[in-house]
Amino acid sequence: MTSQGKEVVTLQFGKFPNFVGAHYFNIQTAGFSFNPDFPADVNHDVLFREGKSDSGSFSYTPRLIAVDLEQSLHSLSKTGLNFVTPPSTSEVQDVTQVEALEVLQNPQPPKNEYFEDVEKQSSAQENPNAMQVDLLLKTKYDLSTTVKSWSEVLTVNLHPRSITMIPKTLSSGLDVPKSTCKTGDDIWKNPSFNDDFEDNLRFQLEACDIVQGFHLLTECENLYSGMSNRCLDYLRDECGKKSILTVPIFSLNEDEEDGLEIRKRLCSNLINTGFCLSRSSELSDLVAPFSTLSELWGDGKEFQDFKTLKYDGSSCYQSSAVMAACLELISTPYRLKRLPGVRMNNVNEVLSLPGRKLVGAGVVFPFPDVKIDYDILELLKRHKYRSLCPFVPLESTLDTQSVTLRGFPHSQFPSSPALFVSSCNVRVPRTFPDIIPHEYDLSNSALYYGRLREVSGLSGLCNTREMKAFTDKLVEKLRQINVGKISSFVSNDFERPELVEMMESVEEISASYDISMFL
Amino acid sequence: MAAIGLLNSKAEYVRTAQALALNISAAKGLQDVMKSNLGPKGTMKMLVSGSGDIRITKDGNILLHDMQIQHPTASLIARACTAMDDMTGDGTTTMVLLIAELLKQSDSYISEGVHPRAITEGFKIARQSCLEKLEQLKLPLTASREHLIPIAKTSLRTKLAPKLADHLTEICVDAVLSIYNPAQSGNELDLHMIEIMAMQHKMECESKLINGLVLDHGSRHPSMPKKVKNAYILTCNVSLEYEKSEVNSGFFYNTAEQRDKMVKSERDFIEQRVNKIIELKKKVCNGTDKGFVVINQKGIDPISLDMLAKEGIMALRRAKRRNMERLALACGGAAVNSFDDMTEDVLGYAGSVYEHVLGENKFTFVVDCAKPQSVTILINGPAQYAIKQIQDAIRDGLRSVKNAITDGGVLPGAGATELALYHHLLQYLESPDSATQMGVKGRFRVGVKAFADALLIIPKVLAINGGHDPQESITQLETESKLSGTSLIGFDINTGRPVNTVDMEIMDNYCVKRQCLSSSVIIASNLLLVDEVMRAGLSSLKQ
Ligand SMILES: Nc1ncnc2c1ncn2[C@@H]1O[C@H](COP(=O)(O)OP(=O)(O)OP(=O)(O)O)[C@@H](O)[C@H]1O
Ligand SMILES: [Mg+2]
Repeated sequence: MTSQGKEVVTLQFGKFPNFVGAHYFNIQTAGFSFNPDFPADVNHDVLFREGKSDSGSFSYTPRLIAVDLEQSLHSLSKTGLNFVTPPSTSEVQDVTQVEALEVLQNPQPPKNEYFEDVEKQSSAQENPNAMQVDLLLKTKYDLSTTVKSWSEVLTVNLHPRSITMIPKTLSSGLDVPKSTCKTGDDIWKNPSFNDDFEDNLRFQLEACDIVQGFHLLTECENLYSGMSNRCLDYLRDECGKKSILTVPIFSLNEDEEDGLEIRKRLCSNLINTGFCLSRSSELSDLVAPFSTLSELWGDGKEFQDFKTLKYDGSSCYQSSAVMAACLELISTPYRLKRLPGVRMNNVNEVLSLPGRKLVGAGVVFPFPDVKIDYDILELLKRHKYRSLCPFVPLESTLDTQSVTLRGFPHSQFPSSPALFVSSCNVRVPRTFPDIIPHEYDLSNSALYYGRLREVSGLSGLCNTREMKAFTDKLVEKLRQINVGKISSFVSNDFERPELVEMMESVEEISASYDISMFL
Repeated sequence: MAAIGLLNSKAEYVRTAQALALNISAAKGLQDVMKSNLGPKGTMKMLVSGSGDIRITKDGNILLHDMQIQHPTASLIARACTAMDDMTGDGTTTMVLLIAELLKQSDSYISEGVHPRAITEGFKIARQSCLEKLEQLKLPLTASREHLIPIAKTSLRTKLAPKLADHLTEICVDAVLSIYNPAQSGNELDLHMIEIMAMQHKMECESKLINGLVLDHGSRHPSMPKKVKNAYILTCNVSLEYEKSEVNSGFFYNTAEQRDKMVKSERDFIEQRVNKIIELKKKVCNGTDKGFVVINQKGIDPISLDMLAKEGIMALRRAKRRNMERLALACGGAAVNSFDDMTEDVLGYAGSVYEHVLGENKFTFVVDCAKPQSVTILINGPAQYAIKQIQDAIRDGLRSVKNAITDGGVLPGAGATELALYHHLLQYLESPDSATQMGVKGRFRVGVKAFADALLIIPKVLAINGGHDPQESITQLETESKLSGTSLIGFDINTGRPVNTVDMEIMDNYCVKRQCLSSSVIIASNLLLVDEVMRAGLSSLKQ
C-alpha cells in the first residue's frame, strides 16, 4: 500500500524537539512489521519516504527536516548515519589534487552501549567465516547517564537531505537559552542556512503525492521561536491550506546562574514564547504546547506525574520520550490503514472552535488496564489524562476532544468521528529510557535479548476552556516585564510597537477561551 | 566596583590593562592559527568532525568558526569575519591577520605609556588616507572576458589546486557574463541566476557550464516522456494537488459510493486546471513537431500526472522557487500564478529537455535555449567533500567577478597594494599638511605608524607560506617597486622574487580590501578601548 497522498512532513527546530523526534521515529521503526501475518495497523508511508541510498540499496527514511546547531550533530554524520569512517588523507589528496593537507580532527564522541552492540552485530553479519553468531540487540538500552545528543538515541537512519544545520559561521558566541527570536529571524534569512532549508524541504515535498500536512516541533523560548515562525510563513506560502500541527516545546533550564541572569533569560523566554504562540496560532491549524513541567516561568519546578510512568523530568532524554509517546498517540488517527479517508484536517475539524487553535494534549501512557469492560465515557472518567500542557490539568471541562486508544479492538467501541481505536500496541524502541514499569509490558516474552516491549496507551487532544489558565499566565508574566525597563539585550532586539502588538494578540487568544465565548 | 574605581583610579587602570592584555593575546592566538591559511600557498585543511564528516577548506571564516571559540574577544572577531564574508565573500583571513597585527603593533607603544586613544585616533587618520589612496591604485576594467579572468583566477587559485582552478576560472567568468546585462549596474547583477548543481559520480570529474538549467528532479510518472525536443515550457506556481476543499467530519463513515462521489466533485476543481494546460498544449503543439513541458513550483498529484502523461506532456512538480525566475530568463516566457486566460505568450522554449538518472537522483536538463540569461554550473565530483570544496570555491569566484564589475576596477594582489599603502602612509607622515591632523604634539603619529607597519603582515605571511624569508622578500619588493616606479610590483609566491602583478594576473577585489581595512580598524580600536568592546554592534561594520 502506498501513502496515497497522505504524507506528513515533520520539521524539528532545536535540541529538545530533535530529541522528541528521535524517539518518535524510533517508535515508528519499532512498529514496522516484517511478519505478513501481523501487519502493522499504521501506514508507515505517511511518515517515511522510500528511496535508494547512495550505494544503491533500498532506503526508508523519515520525511523530516531536522534543524539544530551544526556542532550539536555530535555522533551524526551529514550522511544521516551515526559514526562514519572518514576517507584517508591520501585518498582526499588524490581526489582534490592538493599537495599538502593539514588534518584538524574534532574530538570524537564515545560510542554508547547501543551503538557498540549494533556495530558488533553488523561486523558479525559481514564475516562469512564466523560461526552463526547469536548476537542480538538487547530489549532496552537506557542511555540516561551517558546521552549527550539526540543523535545518540536514533535507531533509524536519516536521509542526508533531512539534516539542515545552522552552520558554525552563524552561531559563534551564541547563547541559545538567552537568544531571542530576532536572532532566529537573522539566521533564517542568511543564505548559508536558508538555501539549504528550502532545498531540503522541497526535496521532501517533491517526493509527496499529496501531502496532508506538517508536524512542526519547535523550542518556543529561544531563537527557534523566530525560525519556526518564519518557517510557518514559508509553509503557508508553498503549501496553501495543508494542515499544520505546531508543537511548541518548553526547554528544561538548569538554573545555576545568578538571579540577574535568570531574570534576563526569563524575560527573553517569555517574549519569544509570546511571539511563538501569537504567530503559530495564526498560521497553524492546531497548536499543542508540550512540557513535562506542570508550571513554568519561575512559578515552580514540579514535573507532571504520569502515574503509570517512572521518569525523571529533568532529563531531556526522558522527558522527550514521554512527549514522543504522546505525539505517537495523537498522530495515530490519520495514519491508520483502517481509515484511509481520515486526514489531519479531520482531527482539526473535530477540535475546531472559533478562534481557538490552542489545544491541550494529554496521555495515559502506558494504559494500565489489560481489559476494558466498560464503555468509552466510563473509560475517560476512570482514566484521566495526564497533561503535557503546563498549568492545564485537563480534568474538568474538555469542550471537544479527539481520542486515540491503542491496544484494543476497535469493534468494541461505537464508531465516532472523534474516537480512533487501534488494536496494535505501541512498541517501545530499544533506546527508549527505562521509564515503563515492567508490569505494563504486554510483550509476551521475558527474554533479556531480542523482543521489544509493547504497551497500550490512551491520548486526547483537547480543546478546552482550561487552556485559559495557560494563556492567562503568559499574559500576566508578560505584563510583569515592564517593556520600557527590560534589560538592554532584549530591548535592542525589539521595537516597542511589535511587543505591544504581540501582547495584544496573546490577550486576544486568551479571551477566546473565556467561558462567555463558549456560551 | 565603580566606586572603588573613582577613589582609586589605579585599580581601574589595572583592570583595563589586564583586559587589554587579554584582548591582545587572544588576537595574537588567532593570528597564529590563521596565518597558515593565507594565499595560494597556504595549507589546505581537512576538518574532521566528531561523527567522521570531512570538509576540505582554506576559507578563513570557516576555519575560524570551526574552532568553536568561547573567548569573547575571539568570538567578536569571528562574527566580524562572518559579516565580512556575507558582504564581500572574501578577505576574511587577511582581516584576522590585520586586526591581530594592529593590536600587536599597538602593544609595544602602549607599554611605553602611549594612551590607546591616541593610537586609535591615528588608526582613523591612517584608514582615511589609505582609502583615498586605494581609489588611486584601482586599475579600471570593463566587463570583458580578458579583464575578468585574472580576478577569478586569483580567487580560485587560493582555494583549489591550480589545474582545477584554471578550468573553473573560465566557467565562472562565462557564467557571469551570460547573465550580465550591460544596461544595468553591476549591483543589479543577481548571482542567483547562476544555478550551481552537483552530481556525485566516480566516472566524470570535470565541471561544466550548461547554457540552460539543470533541475534536481525528474517527472514522477512512468509513462511520461523522458526526453522532449523543441519544447514549449510552461512555468507555473499553481497547485495541481487534490486538497479537501471543505471539511466534512462524516466523510469517512459514508458508503464507498458516497465517498467516491464526494472525492470526484472535489477533484473536478483540479481537473479543470489540468485541462487548461492540455488545451494550451493542443493549441500550440497539434500538427507540429513541438513538445510540451510543465514545470510547477507547487505539487502535482498522481491523477493529474496521469492526465498529463496521456497527452505526452512532461511534468515536474515542486520546482525550486528560484527556478521560476531562472526558467523565464533561460527560456523566455513568464511564470504564471493562474491558468485563467492563459495565452501562448507565457510559454518559454528550449531545444531539448531530458532526464538524466544517477542512482537515486534524477536530473532534468533544460538546454538549447536561444539566448539564456540564466545558466547552470554543473559540478561533477567523485565525493561529497570534493563537490563541497568546489562549490565553495565557485561561489567565491563568482562573487569576485561580480565585485570587480560592480567596483569597475581591481587592485594589484600579491602584497603590492599593501606595500603601496605602507609607502603612502610613511610619505604622508613626512608631509607638512599631515602635521595639522596629528593632534597636540603629533600624538596620533604613533597610530599612523603602527597602522603602516601592520599592513606589512600580509606580504610577510604570503612570503612565509611560500617558504621564503619574509624580511628578505620585503626588501627585494621595495627595491623593485622603487626601480619600476609603479605600485604593481607584487611577490611571486613560487620564486619569492618581485613580479609585475598585471603580467602575472594576480588581482584582488577593490571592495574586499576596502572593507577589510575599515573593519579591521573598527574591531582593533574596539579591542584597544576595552570598555567599549562588547557594546559595539556589528552593524557598525557596514559602511
Ligand atoms: N598568485 C599569488 N601570488 C601571491 N599572492 C597571491 C596570489 N594569489 C593571491 N594572493 C594573495 O593572497 C591573499 C588572499 O589570500 P586568501 O584568499 O587565502 O585569503 P583571504 O582572501 O584573506 O581570506 P578568505 O579568502 O579565506 O576569505 C591576497 O592578499 C592576495 O593578493
Ligand atoms: Mg580570498
